Amino acid sequence: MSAESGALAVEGVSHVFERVNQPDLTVLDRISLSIEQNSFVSLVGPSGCGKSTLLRMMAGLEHPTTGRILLDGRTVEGPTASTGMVFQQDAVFPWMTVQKNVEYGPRSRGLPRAECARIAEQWIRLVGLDGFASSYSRELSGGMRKRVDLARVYANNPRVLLMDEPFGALDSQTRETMQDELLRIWEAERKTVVFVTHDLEEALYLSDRVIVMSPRPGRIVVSEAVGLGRPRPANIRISDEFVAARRRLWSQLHS
Amino acid sequence: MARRRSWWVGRRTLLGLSSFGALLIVYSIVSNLPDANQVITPPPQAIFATLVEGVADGTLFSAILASLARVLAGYFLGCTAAIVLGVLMGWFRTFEYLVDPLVEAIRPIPPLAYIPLVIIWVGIDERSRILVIFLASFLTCIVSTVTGIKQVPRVFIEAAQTLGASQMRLFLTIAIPSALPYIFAGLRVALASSWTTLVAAELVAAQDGLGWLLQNGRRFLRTDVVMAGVVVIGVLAFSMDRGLRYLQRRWTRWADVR
Repeated sequence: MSAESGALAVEGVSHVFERVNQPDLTVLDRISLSIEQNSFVSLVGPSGCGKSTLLRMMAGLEHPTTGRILLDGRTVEGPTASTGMVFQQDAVFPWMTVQKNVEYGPRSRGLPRAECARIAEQWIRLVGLDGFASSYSRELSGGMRKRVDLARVYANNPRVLLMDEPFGALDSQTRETMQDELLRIWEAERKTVVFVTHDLEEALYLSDRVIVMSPRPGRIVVSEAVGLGRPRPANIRISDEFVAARRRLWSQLHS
Repeated sequence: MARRRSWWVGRRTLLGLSSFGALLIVYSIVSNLPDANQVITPPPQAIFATLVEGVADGTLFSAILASLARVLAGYFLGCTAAIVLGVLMGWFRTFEYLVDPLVEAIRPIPPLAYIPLVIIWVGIDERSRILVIFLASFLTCIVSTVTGIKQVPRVFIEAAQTLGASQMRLFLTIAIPSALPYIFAGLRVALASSWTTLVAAELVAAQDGLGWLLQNGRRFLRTDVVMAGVVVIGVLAFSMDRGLRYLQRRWTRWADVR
């Protein structure tokens, strides 16, 4: 394994919220897991189980109370370009064009202007936003904004992609389209992806492995490898295999 | 991008102009009535004649120049200071805790209340007038600048951080642009506040300028001069606000909700 491959290790991570006039709140309780390079892993669990907090810690946006998170053997201490993040909220900078948004990462890392423009153009095309390079966020639909988010984070070539319910705010139709888009892009350029969702179907459809977490304090209930082949056709969602896996995980989630 | 209609055409402008026209017509009828007192309510044509006369003999022009210089100097300095300080307050906690109580304590005091103090300290000269306008625009502009920086959505900051932006880049490319609509709102309120303060300052402590023109008109019961002065101030303040609005539209088009 090379030093820059994008393998994550979570070692005994707990997260405790200190509250005023109330007992401390343990959100995560001694979580350990390792995520292989270039694998697609989903974290599923009821709301409040700390799955988003865990993801934010991987991004360096929060700090574990105990334990540590390692990216390729190095402790994550703060947000960097190595851990790209896609948020549930709309995060497209509204004062920049699509082009400038997608260029933002490479420009931040000081790549030459022409190189940034080239990378951005390539990713804008790849996410299917041809002809929208000079559009602003307010001129785009929700699904298109998510495409910008994806292009922007991919254009920065992070080692790990962290996604915090990225399609949670979309309608179900757009959501399925975006899942297909994400898979298509991921097949083309494999990266380590950690995907947080509360939707089992979404997790199964996308992932190599699904990790089910318990209600607060969040612990890992089960970590199951998804046996479905790739590439996955959209109608795999209604196959017997898929439904069986879904049923199995569902009872784990609700146990 | 769908082009919006320009501001000078269309139904809306027409309606706005017609209410203005109606006021003019009503005033014109009332002031031209046979038993109207032309000294108290000079008819529009008299006011217009006074304006023309003022332009011709240069008195109006020099009054405008004097006032405009004060407004621009005080306003420009006040807003620059407010934006610099406000941005720092909005971005750095420590700085905010340090300066905020002071600003909050001073802010509710109307700037006009400082006129006597400023006269005592600085005297009745150009500096005192500019200083009052400085205070007025500074205190109005700083509040919205701080608000603007503090409302920067967290998700934008975090998105930029996870894309590898440095603190400086975060500040320049995320915080400032995101706060721009608020800063512009502050600039416009500060401009109105500057004109208010200017006229007040000139009423009590000046030998030239538009406020002084008004005061002089009152003293000699030249209502036409007073009204001409009011019209001129209105036109100037309005055009400056339009100018700001133009820049606001240009630079913060992305924030348009419609």
